[in-house]
Amino acid sequence: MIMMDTAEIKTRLEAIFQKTFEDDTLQIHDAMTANDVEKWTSLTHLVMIDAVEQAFNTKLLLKEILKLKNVGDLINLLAVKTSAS
Amino acid sequence: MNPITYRRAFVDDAEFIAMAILAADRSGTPNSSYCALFQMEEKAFLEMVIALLEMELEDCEFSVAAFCIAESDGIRVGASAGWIEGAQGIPSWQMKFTALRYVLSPEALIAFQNMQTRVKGMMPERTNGALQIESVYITPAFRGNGIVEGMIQHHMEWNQLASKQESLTEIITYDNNARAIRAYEKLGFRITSSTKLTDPEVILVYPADGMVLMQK
Repeated sequence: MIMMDTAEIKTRLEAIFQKTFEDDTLQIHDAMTANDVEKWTSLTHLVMIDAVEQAFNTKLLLKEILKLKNVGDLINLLAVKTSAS
Repeated sequence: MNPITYRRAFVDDAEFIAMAILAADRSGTPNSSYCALFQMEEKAFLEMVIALLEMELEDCEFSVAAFCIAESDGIRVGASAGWIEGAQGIPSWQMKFTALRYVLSPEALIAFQNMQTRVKGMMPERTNGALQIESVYITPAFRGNGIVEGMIQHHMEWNQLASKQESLTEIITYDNNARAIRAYEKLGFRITSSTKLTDPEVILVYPADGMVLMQK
């Protein structure tokens, strides 16, 4: 696993979001939730989690995901997980 | 009829709750939206739901803690889920499908991807902060005895005791489930929005091709 800073995580995550939610102009921010993204559905939610795991070469536990309230929480979780190797 | 008692569900109730979820989903039809969505046989679906219930999720329809159990003489005769939408800081659908990711087979996930596109837009949007009533089921011999009302009242009381002060209660059901809609209307619920799909084949595998959101 490669250690990444928050800015790099955000850049990678934004690319995943743009591809998953089919919006090249999508800009993520810490407070963003599913309510803010039109194509964030039950299906794309699962696709997004898979893409994050692949891109960051990590496995996300159910209890970890259920604690995430917004994109900022996801960035922080990925920062912890990518620095823990 | 012996008096009906109501209590919160425990993990030991998982088998009955799973059966109740499936029966409520079928809505009096031979079809289950879940079985269609994941291309699963009923037995496999029930096993999957029991696995989900044992994960001890909170505030969604696969949460044991959300369920009320109605009993007569110690025998389970009814079940219903009740939770405050968004109480965990995320929508209940997000919790449900995140958990499903950990129990669905790769084949079921592919089936879900194919079917979800066809039924997109069917589920009305829940109101954040509203008490959600879901998966209401009464065993056939005990229907028509006010047990649905009793369970809903208990959900409301439990949420008030937990200081989750809801001002709105919502129920989502299939638009062709006239019996359930009439029953909820008698309890003061009114249809406030509805959905209808245009794909004529959906009705072949789903209990209905539309849903109604009822509020009280």
